Amino acid sequence: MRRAPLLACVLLLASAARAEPKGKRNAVSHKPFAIASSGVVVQYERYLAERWSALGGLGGRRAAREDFRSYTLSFVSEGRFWLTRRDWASGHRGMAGPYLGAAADAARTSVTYVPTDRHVGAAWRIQESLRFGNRFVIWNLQEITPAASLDVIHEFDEKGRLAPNTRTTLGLDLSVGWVF
Amino acid sequence: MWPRFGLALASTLVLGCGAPTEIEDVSYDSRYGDSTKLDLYLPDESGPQPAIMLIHGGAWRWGDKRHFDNAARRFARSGYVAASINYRLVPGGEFPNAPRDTACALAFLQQNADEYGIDPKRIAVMGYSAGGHLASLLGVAYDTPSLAPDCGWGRPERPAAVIPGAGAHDLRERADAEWIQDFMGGTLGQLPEEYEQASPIAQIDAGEPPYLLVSGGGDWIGAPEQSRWMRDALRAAGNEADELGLAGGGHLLQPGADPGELELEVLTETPEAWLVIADFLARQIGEP
Repeated sequence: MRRAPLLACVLLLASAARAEPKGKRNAVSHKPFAIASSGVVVQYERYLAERWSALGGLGGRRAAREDFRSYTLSFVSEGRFWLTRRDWASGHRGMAGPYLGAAADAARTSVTYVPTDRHVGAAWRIQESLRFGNRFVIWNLQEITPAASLDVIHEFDEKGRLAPNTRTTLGLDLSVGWVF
Repeated sequence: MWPRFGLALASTLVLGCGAPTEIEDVSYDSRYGDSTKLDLYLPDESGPQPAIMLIHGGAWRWGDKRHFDNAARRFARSGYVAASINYRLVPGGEFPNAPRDTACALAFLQQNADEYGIDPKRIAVMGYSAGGHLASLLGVAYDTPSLAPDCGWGRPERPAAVIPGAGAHDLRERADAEWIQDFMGGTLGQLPEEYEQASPIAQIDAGEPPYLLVSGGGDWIGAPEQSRWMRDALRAAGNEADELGLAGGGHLLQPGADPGELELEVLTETPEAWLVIADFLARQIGEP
């Protein structure tokens, strides 16, 4: 008896996974916040099943200034569960409206001291996020997707001078792109 | 590189990180209660270790020593002794009270170094926002008579290194800001000498401790140009000073591992800053 809800959940997910998704099945977007830190993120999203989509992307930034320069290379990924599959503002159906996401990102940052061209070090940041967002679709083509997240961040210094670190924080996310 | 990285990853994900010993609410001046307490984060390593005194932000009006929890724990796990301090806040902490408290806290750590396993000659001072200003002022004015603490620990020795994050260094240039007037207890017109004394950039001599200034290009509260002015003034007087500027770095929002996502965090806890601070500390106060 206690297994009934679990069984129902499995059947529901299985039926959702089998169902052919309705609506546009692809999205390509970038993230405007990255531009402010001399960075860029480009990502592709695929509508996999009736409520599910998967997203992957690449990014980078060169944030350090003055006496230092830095390079960061990022890999972003996210799985999304579309709650209503409908943008309440435009009525667009498919990968639209509110969603819950589970994201995993990894980034490697390398820093150099400019006056002597000395390599200062490199570090990894691995981030897991739970997101709640909403996709607005305009003219059946352009999308704007703001989201808020709870993030767990793991940090590693390649030289080992600083101990590995794990902490939680909150995040804000915004992507702009096209659905097709 | 990779074996060490793998070890670090394993220690975090599988074994977990060794938690530092934490001693909370150590009073460095019993006259002001919780306002003049500090938390100590002690590493596993014994013997005299380099130390970092952390000064929180909050426009001299808000904030608490717990704000530096994450950084303090990471420093302690890395082998440094970390001390995160409270100081008197406005009202009550108006200039020169808050700077005197930070000087008293530094003197306390230097005088009690043996008890906490600190090497008193290797204590760096780091602060953020208002704490960045106080750290910067402590670095150049630790021996200024008008800022000398009147607590029982006497005047502090020179800190070994200073890391001001997103701090103001010339209060005269931001004298219109209400929070600065509240901290100063009046306007620039009313208190010109006090504004000069409270501005680290006006206190620079030769022989100051090395500075690492951290600023954010998108930080309209911290005014990143002030870090550049401070660096240039320190260098002009023959001192060692570097600045890490971060494009797009805000006062409390920074790009994350996904550069398109903004994280709620301070500039000094970005990957770039962690790397530069670790390198700066290793060079100035030595690796633990």
